[in-house]
Amino acid sequence: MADRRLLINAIAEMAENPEQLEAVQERGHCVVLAGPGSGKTKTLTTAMGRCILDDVKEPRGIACITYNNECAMELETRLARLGIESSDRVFIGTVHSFALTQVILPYARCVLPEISSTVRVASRTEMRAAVAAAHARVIGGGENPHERWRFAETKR
Amino acid sequence: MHLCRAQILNFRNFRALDVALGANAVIVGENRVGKSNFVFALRLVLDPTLPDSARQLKLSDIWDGHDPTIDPQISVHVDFAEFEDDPALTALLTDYRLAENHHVARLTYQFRKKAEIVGRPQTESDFEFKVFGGGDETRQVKTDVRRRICLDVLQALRDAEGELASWRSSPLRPLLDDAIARIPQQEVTAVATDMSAVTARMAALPPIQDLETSLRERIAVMAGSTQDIHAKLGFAPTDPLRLFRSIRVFIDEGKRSLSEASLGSANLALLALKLAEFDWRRLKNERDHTIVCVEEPEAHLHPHLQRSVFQKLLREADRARSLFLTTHSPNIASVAPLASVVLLKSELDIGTRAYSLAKLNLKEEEREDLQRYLDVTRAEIFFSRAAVFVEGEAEVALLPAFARSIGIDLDELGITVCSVAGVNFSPYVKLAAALRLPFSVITDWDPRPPARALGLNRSRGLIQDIRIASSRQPPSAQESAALEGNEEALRQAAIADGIYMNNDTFELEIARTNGLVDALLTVIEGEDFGRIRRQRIVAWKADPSTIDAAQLLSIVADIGKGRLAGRLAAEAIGLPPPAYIRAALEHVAHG
Repeated sequence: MADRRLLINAIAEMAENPEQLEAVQERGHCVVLAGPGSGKTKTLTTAMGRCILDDVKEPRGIACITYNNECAMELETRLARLGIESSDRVFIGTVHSFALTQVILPYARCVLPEISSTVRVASRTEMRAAVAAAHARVIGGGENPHERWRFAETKR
Repeated sequence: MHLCRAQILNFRNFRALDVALGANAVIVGENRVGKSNFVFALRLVLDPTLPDSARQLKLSDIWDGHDPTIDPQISVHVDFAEFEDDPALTALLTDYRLAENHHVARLTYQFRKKAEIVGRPQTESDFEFKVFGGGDETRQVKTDVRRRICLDVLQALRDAEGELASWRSSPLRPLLDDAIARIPQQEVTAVATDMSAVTARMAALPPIQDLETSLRERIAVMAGSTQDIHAKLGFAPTDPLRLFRSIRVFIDEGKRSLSEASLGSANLALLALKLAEFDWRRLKNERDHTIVCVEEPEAHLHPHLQRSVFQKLLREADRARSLFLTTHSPNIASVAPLASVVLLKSELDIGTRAYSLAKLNLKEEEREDLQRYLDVTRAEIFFSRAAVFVEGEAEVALLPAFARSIGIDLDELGITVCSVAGVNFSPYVKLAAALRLPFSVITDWDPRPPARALGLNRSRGLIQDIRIASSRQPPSAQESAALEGNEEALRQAAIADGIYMNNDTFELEIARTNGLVDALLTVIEGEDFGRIRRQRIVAWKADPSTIDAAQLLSIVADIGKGRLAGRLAAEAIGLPPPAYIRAALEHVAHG
């Protein structure tokens, strides 16, 4: 759960920048355009902290979604500074992980009952094993299946 | 949101209970049928105050008649519907939607053999329990869910005083704490100061002072000076916060304490405070929905209070609260909205079954008719083993005598005779069919020459209603048309569904039945009529075959059907009833 004292401090730091403050206070849709290093992430995390403290009451929750794992980790670190951590009510992660954990896993059985409830994203080891097996079955020969896979990935 | 379905498998009285529920539920049933077990089953899933040690059931909790060749397993499924219009409830329940119907969320309790045990389970420790949602074992129910959708059992209606007296359990506590927090500190202190002054004045009165001194001395002698507890006499603690927490509910404008109240008043106060507490918890966002569960509220509320309190609570729509009552009180059953009624009946070998009226398909005026009938008869039909539906008071007055004549004791067999006050049997047969109550309908053929008899369409409609209400195939259009043209076939089909008809009207059938006709003429002979009628009656007595239907009916109308029937009942003892009535009575008496 967010820490109100930390949040108040974060908001106070924006006193010099009314547009940033306005974005943090916004209750509807909001698009923030700004150059690198100008404080977009800070605006986002502060807005999220304000939102979970003031707008979204228990038991409802909030999701903070980004493109890749690096960004997600960055967001997690920055949100932790406001006392916000992933929980039942707070989702921080990539769009893929959101789709998997918040949409597909809970509801796939309502639409496609044949999908097993234990479906998850494969680990790196599992993925390598699957690539090797598929390569042996379809292509075969002496080449390194993982190099071929990497090549295919960049070409995709 | 409300509970829309409950299933209880292999638990205590229940082999396989599956019951549809409405917005509120009033569980009606005789003693020992399993009403409390039903409540406990729900607690296994929903009660946040139930400890895990209580969720670990005993082998004796497994239904006695379970199949010994398979490992016994207790399951309780509780389904919620109409939660989607509330974002908070949706957040809580969305993970537990059913694959087959995503508008319904299911929570399940299961007690079963541990996976690692091979062979027959021997003791309780071979068993484990699990609570999960969405019909999917891997979906654990978050603690939030039970905290925010809460089953609150008001067992305290048995001990309202005790509940209210202890600060810890009193529903007044959170309300009072909240109120105190909103009083400015200087006000709290001022009241405490005033209270101290009054207490000091009281304590300064010599007799009180003497009493206090003697008390302190005794304590000092027993405990020694270092262990002294500094006892003082007072009205209430003088510490400001404690003083405010000692606020209590008084009755009769403050003249008497609640402990001096009748049990009924104490319960009323407790119920009111509990409901206020639930509203407060909702307001504080501690809870989203409370299922208020009251077991046998009749135990300590007198009949008029039962009726007025629960009539109000059951009909008042409150989205944040649903009521779950168990009762064997006709007073409560008779004010319960039809859709809330669930009847529990114990059945040999298959455990207790439930018959719910939640899905009873009625038109609005039919519903009102039935609700009125239940109210007036104090829900007699819920406590009956069979019913005979008749057109009016005349049949109601005469049927018990008729039954006795052919060796059937209606009271002993628990058969109720119900007048539908007219010919609209439809809602009544739907009710009886939904309750799976054996019944027969006694109705007139009502010939209207040259037009068709009224009984024809009436019985065709009833056959249709009865078949649909008892989940059987109604007659096809073709069959129905065939019945229309063939009176004999129609009568046979009607009898197969428990509908018994005469050839004319009730009074004329009596006049055409040997024995009864003499009793009838004796009764009307005793009335004060003019010369012409008296002569007519004398002639009919000499030769009953000369009775003129129109003349007789006009005499009957003058006496009044109900009054005539009442008198005839006394004369008819031991006389066999008309054949169609005998058949209808035997149908319900002998199944």
